Amino acid sequence: MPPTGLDNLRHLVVLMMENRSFDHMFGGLKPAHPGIEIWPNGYTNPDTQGNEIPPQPKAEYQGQLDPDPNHDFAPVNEQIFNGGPTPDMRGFIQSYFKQRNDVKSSHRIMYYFTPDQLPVLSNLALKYVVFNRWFASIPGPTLCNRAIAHYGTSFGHVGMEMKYFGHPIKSIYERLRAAGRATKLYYFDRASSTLELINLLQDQPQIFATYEQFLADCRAGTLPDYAFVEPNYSDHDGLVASDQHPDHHVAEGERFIGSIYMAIKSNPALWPNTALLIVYDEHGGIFDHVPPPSPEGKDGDFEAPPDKTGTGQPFKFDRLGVRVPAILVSPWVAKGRVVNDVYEHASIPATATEWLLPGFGGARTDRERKARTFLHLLSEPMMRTDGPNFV
Amino acid sequence: MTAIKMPTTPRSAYDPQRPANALLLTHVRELEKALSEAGRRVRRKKPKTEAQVAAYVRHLNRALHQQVLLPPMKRRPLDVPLDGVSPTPAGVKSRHASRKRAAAAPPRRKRASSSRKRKRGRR
Repeated sequence: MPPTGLDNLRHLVVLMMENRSFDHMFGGLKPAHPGIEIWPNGYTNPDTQGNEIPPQPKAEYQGQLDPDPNHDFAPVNEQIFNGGPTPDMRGFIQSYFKQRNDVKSSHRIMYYFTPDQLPVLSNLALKYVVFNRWFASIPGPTLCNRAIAHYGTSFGHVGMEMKYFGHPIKSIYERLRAAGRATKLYYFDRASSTLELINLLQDQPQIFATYEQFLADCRAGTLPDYAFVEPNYSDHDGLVASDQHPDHHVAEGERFIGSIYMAIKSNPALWPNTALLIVYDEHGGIFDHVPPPSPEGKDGDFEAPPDKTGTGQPFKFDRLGVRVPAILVSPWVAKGRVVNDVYEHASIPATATEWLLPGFGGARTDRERKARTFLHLLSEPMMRTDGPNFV
Repeated sequence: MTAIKMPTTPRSAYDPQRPANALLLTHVRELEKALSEAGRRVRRKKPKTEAQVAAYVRHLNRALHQQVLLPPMKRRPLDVPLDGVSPTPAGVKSRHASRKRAAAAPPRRKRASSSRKRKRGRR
């Protein structure tokens, strides 16, 4: 019996981009990929003048989402519930309107890309695995969501708090290093830095490396067991931000995704034994039609108080954030497969832990323990050779 | 397999003067706090644009690495100008050096030096 992809797997690479929703990025893919779940007929959002606005294929790379759509906890709550008791995903326009008081520009929050605008993401979605229900972990901003990708919890935070010292729950990097496993967090450069520097530098300075080093490690075939890659967060030194955070140029993010993929694929010794997960941290205030479900497991005893949520109500981490794009790339996954199970960012440390630290007995949240893992998707009996190349 | 062309990013996409978003400003704030808690004071104007944030983050990042990797060393407060060119420690050193040079130098050389300074100032 030929070895499966999982038997061959030596490296797991996670690339986390910024602030785009599933419907916004994949909305135009439905004709080419019927399995992809986009909004049903009749889905609209009301504007402030009572007009019902449907999703429209008018998204542009840059210039439409300025100011940056609000995606703090309270505005996301409004986007999901639209002031009502049930999550109907009809509050995106109303929420964005508050930032400019301009009806016309508030409609832009319902725009989506066409596949020709996103050749990298679209082709990867068509050729590899798309998660139809990968949700941000928290209906809030970047940092609490990224924390869950590293720790399996945000330690009770729903905002932009960054420090998680002194908790028994260790990051996936600390867990792996303690077990003698190789791991790296690749940030773009020192001027872009990484949002995890503060938490992990003190004890784990050796895990940090740059994008240039990632490319070099791919060329040399020296990727660690587990790698997390961060894009460039700012325009500086002649370099365009590649994180796709509004209002950064989306094409540059496409190029960045393409470069990560090609760096792995171009090394024939690396490609057969590497899996790449491309995922976005949260939706960035942009529309998506799927109401977020609850996470599978309880997030410890954490509860965010009303002054942190801004809604007047505490939050018990019993609801996920808005759906985001997620693609699993490997020559061992089925072409064009869609996965309809619920995933969230706790699935990332859960997967790395299950794969690299079987029987791990250290502290973890119930949320992470119960989060679905994804390496079983490397199930093809033969390695595929039909993956796209990008230039 | 045919190669698929990635989209090009136009030159106009690059705008280092774009106001920094909340994520970047939070990053700066938290890096500053971490550095300050590690015993290193930070003194500078708040960055506003992406280029300013990037320049500042580069310094904070480097300082934080040094602070962690070489904790017993005593260091001056981190003082970063908005254009990203650090006068510390090089700037401080050069001021000290020029004072020493001025004391030791003959009067003629001193005059030549101040004339160069005036010239620079007019430009």
